[in-house]
Parts: sequence; structure tokens; C-alpha cells
Amino acid sequence: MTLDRRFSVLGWLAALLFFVLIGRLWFLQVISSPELTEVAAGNRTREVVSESPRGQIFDTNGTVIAGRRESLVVTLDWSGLRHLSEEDRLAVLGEAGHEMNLGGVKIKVDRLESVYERASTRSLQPVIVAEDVSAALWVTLQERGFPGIKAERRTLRVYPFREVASHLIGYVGSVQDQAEADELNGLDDLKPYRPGDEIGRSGIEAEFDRVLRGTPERLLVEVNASNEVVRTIEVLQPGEPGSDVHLTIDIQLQAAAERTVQTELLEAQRRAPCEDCPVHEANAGAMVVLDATDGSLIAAASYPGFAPGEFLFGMTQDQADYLFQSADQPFVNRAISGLYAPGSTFKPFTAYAGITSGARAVDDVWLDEGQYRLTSCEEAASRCVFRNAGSQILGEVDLVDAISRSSDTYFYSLGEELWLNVDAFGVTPVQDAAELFGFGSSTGVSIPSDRAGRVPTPERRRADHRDNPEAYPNEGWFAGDNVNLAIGQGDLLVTPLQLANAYAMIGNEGVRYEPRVVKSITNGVSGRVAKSFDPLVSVAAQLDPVAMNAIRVGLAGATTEGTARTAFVGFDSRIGVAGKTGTAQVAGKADFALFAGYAPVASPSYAISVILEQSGFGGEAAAPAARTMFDYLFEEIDVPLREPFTDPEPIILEPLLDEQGNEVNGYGERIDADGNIMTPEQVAAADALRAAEELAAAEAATAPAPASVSAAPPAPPVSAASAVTPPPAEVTP
Amino acid sequence: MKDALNRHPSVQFFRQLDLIMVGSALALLVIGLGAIASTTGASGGSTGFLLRQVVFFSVGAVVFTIVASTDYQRLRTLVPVGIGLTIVVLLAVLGPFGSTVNGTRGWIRFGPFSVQPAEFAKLAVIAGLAAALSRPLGKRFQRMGNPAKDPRRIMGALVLLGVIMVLVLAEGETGSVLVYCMVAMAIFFIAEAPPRLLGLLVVSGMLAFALAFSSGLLGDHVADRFTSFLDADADPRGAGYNQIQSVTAIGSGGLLGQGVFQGPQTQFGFLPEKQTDFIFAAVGEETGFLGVVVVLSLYGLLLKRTFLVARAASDRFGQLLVIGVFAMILVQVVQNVGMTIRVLPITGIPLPLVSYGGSSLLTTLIALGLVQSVKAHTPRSAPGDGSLVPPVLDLRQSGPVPELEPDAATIGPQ
Repeated sequence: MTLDRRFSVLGWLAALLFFVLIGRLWFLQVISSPELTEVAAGNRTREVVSESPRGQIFDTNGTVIAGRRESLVVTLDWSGLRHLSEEDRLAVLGEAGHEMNLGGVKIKVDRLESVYERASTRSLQPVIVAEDVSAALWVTLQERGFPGIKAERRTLRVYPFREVASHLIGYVGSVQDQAEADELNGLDDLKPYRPGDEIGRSGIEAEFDRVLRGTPERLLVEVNASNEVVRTIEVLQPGEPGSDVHLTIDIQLQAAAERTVQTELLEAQRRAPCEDCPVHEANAGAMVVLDATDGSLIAAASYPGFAPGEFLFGMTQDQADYLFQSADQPFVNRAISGLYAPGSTFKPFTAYAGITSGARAVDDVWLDEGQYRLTSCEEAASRCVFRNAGSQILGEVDLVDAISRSSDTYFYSLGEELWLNVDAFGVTPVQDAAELFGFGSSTGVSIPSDRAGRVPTPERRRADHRDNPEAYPNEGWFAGDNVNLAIGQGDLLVTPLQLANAYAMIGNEGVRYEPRVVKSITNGVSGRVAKSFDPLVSVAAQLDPVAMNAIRVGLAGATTEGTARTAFVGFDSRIGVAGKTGTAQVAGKADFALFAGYAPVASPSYAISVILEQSGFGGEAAAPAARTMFDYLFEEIDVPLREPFTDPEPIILEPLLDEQGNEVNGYGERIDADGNIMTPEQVAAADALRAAEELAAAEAATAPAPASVSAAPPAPPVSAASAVTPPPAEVTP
Repeated sequence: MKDALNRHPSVQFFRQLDLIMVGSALALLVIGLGAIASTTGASGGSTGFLLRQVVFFSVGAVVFTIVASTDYQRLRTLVPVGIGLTIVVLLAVLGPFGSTVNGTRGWIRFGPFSVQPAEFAKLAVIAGLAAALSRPLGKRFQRMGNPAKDPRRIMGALVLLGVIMVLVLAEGETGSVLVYCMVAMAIFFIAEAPPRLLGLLVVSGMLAFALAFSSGLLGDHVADRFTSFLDADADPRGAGYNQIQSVTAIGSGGLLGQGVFQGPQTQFGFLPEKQTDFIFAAVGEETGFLGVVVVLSLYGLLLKRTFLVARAASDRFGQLLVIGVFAMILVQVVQNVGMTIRVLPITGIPLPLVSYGGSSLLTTLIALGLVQSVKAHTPRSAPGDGSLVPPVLDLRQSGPVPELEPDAATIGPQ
């Protein structure tokens, strides 16, 4: 090949290469341009969905009981950290923790790490690790740009009354993952849920989640390569705050009810149990206060409770263990879904069955000898003998006396009589009366955990046995079952709400309302009423006036001269309370104390039911609670005002200590009370001061000590009480 | 008076300047400055990159003038020194003086500036090979045969190439090694090395690359780039990201472009390495097909003038020097543009004269200075008319007959 040829080969080769480049550029920039322009546009446009403020929940007087608050928060985003090696991650968390310490947030690296680890198994959403941080810290964190640690502005749910009404209001959590969101979104497409969105998890927050939830704002925005928004292109859907929900609850009376239940439980713990009886654990209880004139729920206390804010800001391990694992089941709203044997509070309904079936007349007199022997029982076995509570002997009683003085034997005999004359009185006269007064079916209150309870019948027992012989070994129905049912024992289970509502029906001459907890829903912006929930009569029964009159008189007598007499001493006789105590037996436990009643006697305004678990006699433990509540309701005593908390709920953080017990930051540097790193001089000064104090203390200890100090102090009865007081619930002074 | 003025060295320099070559290079430099201004946010007040490139350009212009006005035959005596210096610096980079950027350890820092010795090593390769494959100066070598056919000289050239390649490869600068290979091929080709040698070079080069690639010697990022070139969509957020973004940018530029400072891919940071390796994509997005055709035409012009100088060169050393520069610029332009439009895999090769970077710019300007020097010291067939008429080189005769007599006036120190 000549040199000339070589040059032309090289020249043509170069020309060819350029040709290829130009050809490819023509293809990209002229032929494929529209397509690639679209790709480029897709590259930088994003649909940004942001949650709108959640609606607020108000009590009957317009007080905010679930509100919202803007806050500068620090979040930990698992997905931003997962790419890092453990070493790098700990370095990042250490640095971030250090900055937070300097910014006044006492958080330790261990905690950030544990949040990271928990988040990796539970949620892909950023978890708030500190809220209400200073603006300076917030800006610093934004500038430092730690991976996975973000400074954000969030609208937080806030419960100004903390644990008050926590069961009713419920709490919010976040949608865990896409699977859950998909499941939810089948119902509503206007406000689709995304993982991490706020969602009501219990109570009103859950039942009215769709109402409270704001319409999310959807924007089409332009972003840069770092996913930062450059500009908004289009508003696809304007955001709108959620609607507000107005409850019938009076938050002050609710707080008073909760406090009353707690106080009476503490009292019951101090009270000695009867001989050979189990101790009064008195660890739980409930109280329902209904407006008897329209079925509105005024208060529904359930103890123990929880502070809903804890779900937002995290809790200590002890708190979590208590809430999730305790046998006390702090999450259960006992007022609505607690199932209890009503005990003697059921007697009025047995009485109604007895009178209306014709088994007894109102003025039939029964000789109460303290015990009742089943007539149908042939053997002399002890199981054929039923005794009065406390084996009292009441003598001659008629229906009114039997109710007010709570004669068990009266009702034992009535129960057996009804069963022995099935042909005359029907198979289930007592059960029918119970169902007439609302037992055995859901009250219809709009709280998700509302339960039906159980009214046992021979038929149901057979069916249960047929379906599940192991759980229900008994197939037949015997006279003893009717006897137990007559005094509200056996398989009968009712909720406190059902009980209060049934008593309201007694007072209301047969009118039973569907209990309501929500009054209205109003637009979150305009405040206009979007929907109102009017009182709803669920049953208006024509009750036997003779029977009802006797029952009412009996109930009124209970508080003046009967079993609840002591509790109601001094109560305004012009108002008067009609009620019934109950002492339900539960195997292996102390008796459950109950009281149900209404007031005023003539025309009830309020109906109350109280159940205190393992607290002894109803007249001793439950009736005083109802008395206190009636005093509040009729303004005999002023309701102690509970002030809403305006300060944010504190995040409970363990201070980080070094081996000598000095407070340190995540790097082990000594910090002072304000979180500032101490200089070596300050450390030396602090150590010297402490050494001097210790020396002084040691000298004091060697000196003769006062007897009261050297002797081990006897455990005061209060300590037993405080042992069952759950950590989250504060005892209001 | 006029005559005296004409004889003044600076006037002589300008008269002999290849204005088309210098003009197209200047045009590319200005386009490059515009693109750097656009990609580094100079309109928003961040002018650091722009100012530094202007400094590099000013230094480069001075160096270009010095090299261009020096007789390349005199520079030839400096070749051994230059090669020695290059190897020492390359060793130093591998040692304690180097710093790592983008997975390659090819930088030496001097305060705010970093120098990339692999760039300057391109000149050492060109000058070294050109010197090895052409007759040395001096009368006693005039009867010597074509050194490109002398096994000892070929061996010498290959050893030099090998040493530099190994050192640069050890720094992780795969792209530069590619350029050395192509440049060497062009020089061997024009030096009329035996065809078997060329064939052997191609085969062994490919084998070496395959071996290095499969043994992982080149490092993961090279393997990633290569596999992502073959299937960019396999990992669009990872290794394939750069090319996808680059093709998207160029394609969305369309015929006339999105406008300077207006390309969203460029301005919003989707385009990676936008002021260096992928600057062509920024130009493509903001000035469209029209703009890239102008850029490529300027390169075409520049290369054509270089090509003509090579063909017209009156001695083998000059000819090989210029063809080396020609190949260097050609390979870099094709490889760089090729990777931005996804016809070639990604290598860290900058676009000569346009990409931001002092080492590359200085190297290219020195190389162009060499070309200008060769042109200025080539006797003209029609002196004074300024045009370059390629002399017909009849190199068909081989053997001891000297085909090219070095210009007597340019031999030896004057």
C-alpha cells in the first residue's frame, strides 16, 4: 500500500466515523425527538400528593378534644439509610444525634438506631424521632443533609386532654404498606390512602376516618435530578381539610367519670375482702353516663387507659409492654365492649318477666330465709342450695322489697318457677324480657367496638354445643340455669352501655334510644353542618304499667333504704335516684361491683352504669361512684375542671449516662443540663462539686441517723395502689 | 520598512499560521466556554468553572504559541527527556502524590488545580512513536532504511507504548489507554509498518483487553459501563443511567435545541458529568441538531487541516507527529460523541477543546502547536502564497534511497 493510499484510507475512515455520528444524531434529534422529549418531560414531572389537615373532634360544648398542630419535626427515614453499611449508618446517626444534642434535643444514638431497626421491619415511612425542635436545629439539619434524617414540617394530631376519653376518641396511626392501602382504597377513590398516610386506628378516629381525613392535594410538579420541586405545573386536585366531628361527650364530665372510676378502684383496693375471699385487685372498671332524654352518650369511662399521643411520638419499652401485653388490656373500651355478668342489676328485667308472664303478682310476698333450695332437686347435695349474697336473711319481701333490698332467693324461686311451668309461661320469658330491654344485640352506637353481649337460651345452648362441643360441654338447660339467669349470672353477658341504656328505658316508660356519640359533622373550612345525627328511638314498647311501677318504686327504694342506701345518703330527695346494685361472681376472682340507675326518679335525665372489676360489693364500690357522678350531673358538687394541655406531649427519653452516672451526649462527651458540651474546666468543676457532696453525704451517713430513717419504712397501702396505676395515665390531683 | 516588518518573527509566525485550523479550534473553544457557562450555572452567578477554563485557555494559548513557533525538529531532541519525565510522573501518581477522582487514581493536586498526567502522556506516546519510527537527525542516518521495518526500533516503540499503557491502566484510566492504542495504530499505519505487525497489534490489543476485562483488572466500573452499554435498560437507575439521560437530553434537543441555558435535562441536573465527559449532550440539548452539526463540522475542519499538514510534511518525524495528533483528536471526538449518543460504551474521555478541564485543553493545544510547527517548517511549493499544497510524496521506493530530504535549513541548531 502506498503512503498515499494509506492517507486516503485514514481520511475516508475518519469521514466514515463522522458520518456515523451525524447519522445517529439525525436519528436521535430529528426522528426520535418527540419521543425522547416526552421521556425528558417524564423525567422531571412528578405527581406530588400531600395529605390535607385532618378534621378535628369536638366535645358537646365545642371544646377541641382531638386537634392539630404545626410542628417542626425530625424524622428518621429507613429507606434513606438502608444503603449504608452498618458502620456508615452509625456514623451518620452519631453525627445527627450530636447535632440534635447541640440543638437541645436529648436523644441518644442507641435510640435512633433502635428506631431504625424497628422501622426496617414495620414501615417504610419516615418515623418522627423528635418534634417541636428549635428552628435553628431544624435549619442546621436541613443544611447538613444527613441521609435518612430529615427536618420536616408536619401537622400533628394532638389530644389536648391526653388520656381523657382516649378509648372513645381512639388514636391515629399510619397506613403500613401498599397492601393495606390497596385494601382500603377499594372503598373510596377520592381520598386514596398511600403508605404512611395518617389513619384512625380505633374509636371515633377509626369509625369516622373517611370524614376526618382531608382530601389530599395532588400536584403535578417539575423536579430536578435531586427530586427537589422546581415549580408547580398543575393542580390536579386541590387539597381540602377533613370535616370536623362533634361528639355528644362532655369532656369535663368524661374526665370526672374517669377520675371517679379510678378513685373508687383505689378505694376498693384498700378495702379488706370478705373472709376467705380473693383480694380486691380492682384493676379495671367502666362507667357509662347517658342522657336519658335522647340517648346521647355524655361520658364513657374505661379504666385503665392510654395516652393516644404516645402512638405519635413513641414510647418507652415499659409503656409498650404494658399497653400491648398487660392482662389489664388498656386498649379495650370496657364501657362499650366490656362483657360482664350483670348480677343483681339484672333483677328488674327478671321481675318484669315474672309479672308479665303471670308467675308472680306485684304484691306476692316471699319469705326470704337467706337460702333457697331447688324444689326440683331430689338429692340433698349442696349444689341444690342457692344462698343470698352474704347469706343475709331478709324475711318477708314483696317485689318492691326484693328489688330494693336485693333478695336473691326471691328471684331464685321465680327463676325456678318459670322453668317448672314452661307450658304456662313459655320457654324463655326472662330472655325475652332481656332482649326487649336491649340485651343480646348491639346498641347501634357508632363506635366500632360496640358488642352484642349474650343472652343464653336453651336453644342457643344446644346450637353452641352442636357447633363446638369442646367449648360448650353442656347441652341441656336445667332449672339451675334459670335460677342463675334470674339474678344475672350464668352465661348472661352485657356491656355497661347496654345496662345504662336498659335502665334509661325503665325510666322512660318503654322508650329506648339508640345511644349516640356523634351529634354532627361540619365542614372543616366553612363550619357548616354537613350531617347531623338526631336522636333515634330504637324501641318504643308498651310496657306493663303495673310491673314497671313496682320496679321503679323498688329501684327508687334501693337508694333510699335498700342496698345503695349508704352511697346515696344526703342526695337531694327532690331529685332522687332509681338504681340497683349488683355483685357479680366470677370464678377465682373477687366479686365485680356494679351499679345501674337513673335520675331524677320521676322523669329521668341521666342514666348511669358502673362496673368495677374485682372490687367487692356493688353497694360498697360501684354505687358511690354513681353517686359522685350524679352529684356532678345535678351540680351538687362542682365538676373539677380539667385544663387542656397546650404544651406538646413530652417525648420520654432516657438520659444517656456514662459509667460515673454523668449525663453525656452520643459521643460520650459530658453535657450540662441544657445539653451543651462541657469544657474540661467545667467537667473538673462539676466533678469536684460532686466529690464534695458525696463526702458530705458520707459524713452524714456515719453520724447517728434518726430512727425513722434507719428503720425500713412500712409499705403504705398507697404503694399497692400505685402498683396497678399504669405509667401513661396521670392521676389528676 | 515593509520588508523589515515582514521579516519580524511575529509577523512570520502569523503569516505561517493555519488560520482555518486555528480558527476552528478557537470556535470550538468558544463553544466550549459557552457550554461550560451553561452547564455550571454561570448565568446564576457561579462562574468558577468558566473562569478556570479561561485561565487554562490563556495558559494554553501561550504554550501553543511557544510550541508552534519552535521548530519541531528542535523539539525532537527533547523527546527522550519528555518520555522520561512522563514515566516518572505517572509513577508518582501511583505513589503518594496521586488522588482518586471517579474511581481513577490519575490526578496530582496543585492547590486548586489538579493535573491529569495521563493526558500529557498522550503527547509522549505520539512524540515517542514518531521519533522511534522515523530516521533520527544527522547525516549518518540519511541512508538508513525505514525504521518502521526495523525490528529493534519496532520493539523500542512497543516497549515505550507498553510501559506507558501499563502505568496509565494501573491508574484506572482505561479511556486514555484506548486513545494511546488508536494513536499508535495510526502512526504505525502511516509509518508503513509491516502489515503483519499491524495485524498482530490489533489482535494482541483485543486479547489484552479481553483478558483484562474478564480478570477484573480494569475494575468494576469499566465492566459496569460496558455491560450497561449493551443493555442500558437493565439498570436504568444505576450503570445505565448516564447514557439514558444523555441520549434523552440530545434527543429532546430536536432540530434547533431547547435554547442555551434552557435545557431541562442539563439545567436540572439529570445529565451527569455535564461540563466534562457529557458536555456534548448539553450542547445537543440546548442547540439541537443544528448545533451539533456545527460542532462536528468544526472538528471536521480542524481534522482536515491537520490531515493536510501531515500529508504535506516534508519529513517522516513531522508527518508521524501530525498524524498522531490527528488520530488523537479523531479518536477522542468519536469516542466522546459516540458514548453520549450510545453508539459506544462510556469511557472517561473528554471532548477536546470543549470539555472543561485544564489537562485535556493544554494537551490538545500543545498538540495543535506541534501541528502548526510542522506546517510552518514545511517548505512550500509556492512560497508566500500561504496556501498549503500537498507535495506528492513518492514513497514507493523502499530501501536506502532517502525519499524525504529534511530541509537543510531546519536541520541542527541554527
